[in-house]
Amino acid sequence: MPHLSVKENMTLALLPKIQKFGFVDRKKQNQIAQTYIEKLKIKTPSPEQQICNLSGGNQQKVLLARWMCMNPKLMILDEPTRGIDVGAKAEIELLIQNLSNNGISVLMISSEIAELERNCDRVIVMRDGKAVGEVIDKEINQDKIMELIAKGSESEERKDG
Amino acid sequence: MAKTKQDTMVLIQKYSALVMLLFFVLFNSLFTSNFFALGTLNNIITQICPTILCGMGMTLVISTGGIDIGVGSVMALCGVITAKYMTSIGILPALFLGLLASLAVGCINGFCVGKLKLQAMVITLGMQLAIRGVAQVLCEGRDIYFNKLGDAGEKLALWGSYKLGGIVPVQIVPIVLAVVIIWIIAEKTVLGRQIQAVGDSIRSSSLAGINAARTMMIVYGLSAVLAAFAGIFQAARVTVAAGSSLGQLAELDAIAAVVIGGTPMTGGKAHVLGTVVGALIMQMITLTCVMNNIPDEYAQVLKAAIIIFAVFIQREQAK
Repeated sequence: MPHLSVKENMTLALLPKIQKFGFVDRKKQNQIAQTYIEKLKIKTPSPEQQICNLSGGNQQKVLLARWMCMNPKLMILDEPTRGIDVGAKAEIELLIQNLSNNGISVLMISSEIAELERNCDRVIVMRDGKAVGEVIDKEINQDKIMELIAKGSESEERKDG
Repeated sequence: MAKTKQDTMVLIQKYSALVMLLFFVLFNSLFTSNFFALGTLNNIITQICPTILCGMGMTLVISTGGIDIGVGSVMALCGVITAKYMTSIGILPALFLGLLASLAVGCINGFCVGKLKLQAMVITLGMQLAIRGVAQVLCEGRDIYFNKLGDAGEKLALWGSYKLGGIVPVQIVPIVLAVVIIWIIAEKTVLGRQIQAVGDSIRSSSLAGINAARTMMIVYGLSAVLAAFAGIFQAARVTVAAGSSLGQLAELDAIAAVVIGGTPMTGGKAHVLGTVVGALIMQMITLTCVMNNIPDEYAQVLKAAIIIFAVFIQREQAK
């Protein structure tokens, strides 16, 4: 929500859980905003700053915080580092790894093979909604993943041809 | 911190409505005789009632990025239903019936906009025509005069003419209640946050777990119920429930008040008090012209100019 503040964006999904008879719990809201701004090192002049004024990387951190503050068991991240500068990218990848280390399962969707190689314990290559292949742990490297992608298209061609 | 152009724009946006209002008050206190008389204040209160009631509902609706052009017709619907049935089942039951019907209209609007994803402009325009028709059918083409309705008619007319403590018009009650309730909803409740989130970006808020359909139904339902009350008080004031003319063009005043008040038409932050200021400004314009014998056409032109100015300032904000 571009025109809402960092604080609002961050706590929006959590509000129903911390409400008092339908009223916003301002104190908790501020607390959580402050906590995650520090935890994720979100660069913003204040929690009231409009989120559209932040850099892409920091915006993404706020969005991560939105779901992290709900203490999920599983987080699904769809292209979490797309369009983000290199510095913030590394920070976010580190955050994602921390999530995983803290026991949260992370399902990451990405089209950047190098990113997958760096971060994942398990990679499943999909095509048209079907799994084409899987690589685990030490087997994960860019070549193997590329191979699976190509293999998927091969069997497609054989079917048509 | 350097004053950038953006900072100045934000300041102008925030206070322009208030400044305009002060200007009108000042101008009138200097040039209009009897401006500060009690009668003037009473006039303002009684005449601004429908605009503020509908305006409160409209503020939330516009805050979600939608619009409700049908509020005038809903005013007529509730007014006619109440007047028509109050002699047979009593004022309060008849009123309840009218409110129920209005709520139904609002929920249908909300469902169409939120779930079926129809354009708010289109569906509420349809409602405006349809509900006006229903109101006219219900009163069978003849205006319902309160003085022909005996005891109930007298009682309901009080809703228009009663003066608290002999001085303050009764309309102040719904006005204050409506403003306070809507302000609390917009500023303090989770619902208010969700309404503004939906208005800012419906896609993002859905992804964040907000039920857009439910939010829309609540917002349009509220708008309709508030319009229903506006209809009752307006009908009581003129002691007649006219299916064809009650509340006509009321939506325009309400929308204008919201626009001048600063709530963005594209959806976003709800400026509840801004709408009140907007309504006051419009009332001031009418008052200035009436009390100074300026023809009504000038009032209309001035209102239009101010609305355009308000939209122009908003344009800067959305950039």
